[in-house]
Amino acid sequence: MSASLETIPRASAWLAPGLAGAVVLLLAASLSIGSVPLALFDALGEALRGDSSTAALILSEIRLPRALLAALVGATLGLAGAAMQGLLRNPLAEPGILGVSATAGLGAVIALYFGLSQAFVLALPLGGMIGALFAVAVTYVLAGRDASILTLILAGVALNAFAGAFTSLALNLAPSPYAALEIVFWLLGSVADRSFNHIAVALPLMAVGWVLLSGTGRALDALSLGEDVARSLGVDLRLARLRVILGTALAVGAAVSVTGTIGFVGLVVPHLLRPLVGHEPSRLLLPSAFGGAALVLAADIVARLVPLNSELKLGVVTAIVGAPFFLYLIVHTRRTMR
Amino acid sequence: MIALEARGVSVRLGRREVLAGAHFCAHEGSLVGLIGPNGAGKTTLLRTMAGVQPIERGEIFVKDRPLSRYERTALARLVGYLPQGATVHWPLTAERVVALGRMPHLHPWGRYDPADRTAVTRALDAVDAGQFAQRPVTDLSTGERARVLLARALAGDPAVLLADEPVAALDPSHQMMVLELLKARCAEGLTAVVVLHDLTLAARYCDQISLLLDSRLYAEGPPETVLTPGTLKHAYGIDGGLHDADGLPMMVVRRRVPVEDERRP
Repeated sequence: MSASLETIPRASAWLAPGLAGAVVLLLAASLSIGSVPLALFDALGEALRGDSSTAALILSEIRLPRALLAALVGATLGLAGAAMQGLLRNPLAEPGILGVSATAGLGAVIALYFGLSQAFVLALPLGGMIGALFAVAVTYVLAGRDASILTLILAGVALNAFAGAFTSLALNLAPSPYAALEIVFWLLGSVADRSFNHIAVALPLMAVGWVLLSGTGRALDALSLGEDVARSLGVDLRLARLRVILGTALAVGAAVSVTGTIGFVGLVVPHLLRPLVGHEPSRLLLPSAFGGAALVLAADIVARLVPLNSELKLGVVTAIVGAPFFLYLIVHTRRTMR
Repeated sequence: MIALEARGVSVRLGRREVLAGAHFCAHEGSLVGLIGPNGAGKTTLLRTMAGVQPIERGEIFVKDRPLSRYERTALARLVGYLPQGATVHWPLTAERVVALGRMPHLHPWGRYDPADRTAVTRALDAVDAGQFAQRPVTDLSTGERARVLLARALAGDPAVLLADEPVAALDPSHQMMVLELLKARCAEGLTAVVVLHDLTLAARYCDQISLLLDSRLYAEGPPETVLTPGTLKHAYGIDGGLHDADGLPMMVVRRRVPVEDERRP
């Protein structure tokens, strides 16, 4: 009488492939757009042949790292957002909630403040990762003691406040207005002017984070019925919690340390895709990764296309779209839940 | 054969000793009503036996083997747990919720096979929930949702089912339906421990009543030996007892008795 168990909204069958296709198209669009007009396929051919024509250099040294980084960071934020919402069973959860983004930002700011980024190119991403590891360590110690979700969220609030305070201190004591401006601009979040070195630093850690996060699907499904039932279904909750926290910290920490803070992607993407996968946390993970990549690529294209005196920062674009969405979600969730 | 046993289990939540050396015993194939006044420790005892509440002292035995010696998934296949007033955090369809009960039977990377599907359909139909299988559980009434969640617990085909007030939100007809269903499953070998507050239902359907009082087991046995006027007065502070109504046991409570007994200093 009841239909097959695999009955899920028809949309979900083509959702992940469809979003992957969108990512490919947006990557191509991102490569074609810029201040210098470029014949994409000619330049691509030249770059592959190893020509050092201007077009080939622009493509491989400027636009390709930028587009790839946008996709990688977007995928990280989307995946981490979906996993965190599943773990906390709350559509308002976001990677930033653990304080990882903010402490990673603080680490990078410290590197900027002491001028380490001028001394060697990787100081900024390394500073960011050390900051992220700090947040990881705090959450790890708490989660290891079987802390409640509320404790973790409050720890995130504390870490965010802590990072905010020290970032303000760095701005306050900045040796020159120029240094302060550099910090502020970096914090706004962008994928412009990044190189393959940045990707090489961030990608391995992101990949470890992705693996940790994508293995949690079944535990997240079980958690829809609450922690006690999940445990009684044989789920190792401590392990699942650690995987999500550690995976988020590694992947998002690595991402933030090369791009600055790009907010709300982890909030918006899983929320929009959830109804299309029948609200199942496990089925949401992969589409959210592709959706996040597509959203950040699109936002980065918008940032370049808007005709203003100076180029819009990516983090500003996502925040302008994301913050009202966040507010709408709170109002909407209050009405429909509980 | 004894399916489930608690020996001297103590649990402390914060500063309060919620269970103080509680004993419990359920024979295979029996429907056990776990009763007792509010705060006696019924929910905590059920949670310890489900393996979701760590215990301070004592030991739980499932099929004569200490619960702590079971591998996580093996225990999940054996013991089903249905908490009180459980919620579902996402608007999943009733069928998907019931399918979650099959999780202990799935291979780590496996999908649902025909056996899983049969179990899910059977569980949904058993609680009379087939007609809203495709509706989001968040849209269902409290009673309908309670039946879906019971189906979720049954779908795992556990040998022992621990259900915390599974009929509290149901109308009289569905209350009877659920208890008749559990009784039928017990005839097939299931051991069910059900927290109940309705003593008439407990007397009518249960093979055994276990009465918790002040964090300990106070009385255990067939309904007519436990639900005596003396025990009811001591445990609940009520003047009442079982009466015969057309051949069925019925609980009649005349009045509350002022608390003057020795157990409250």
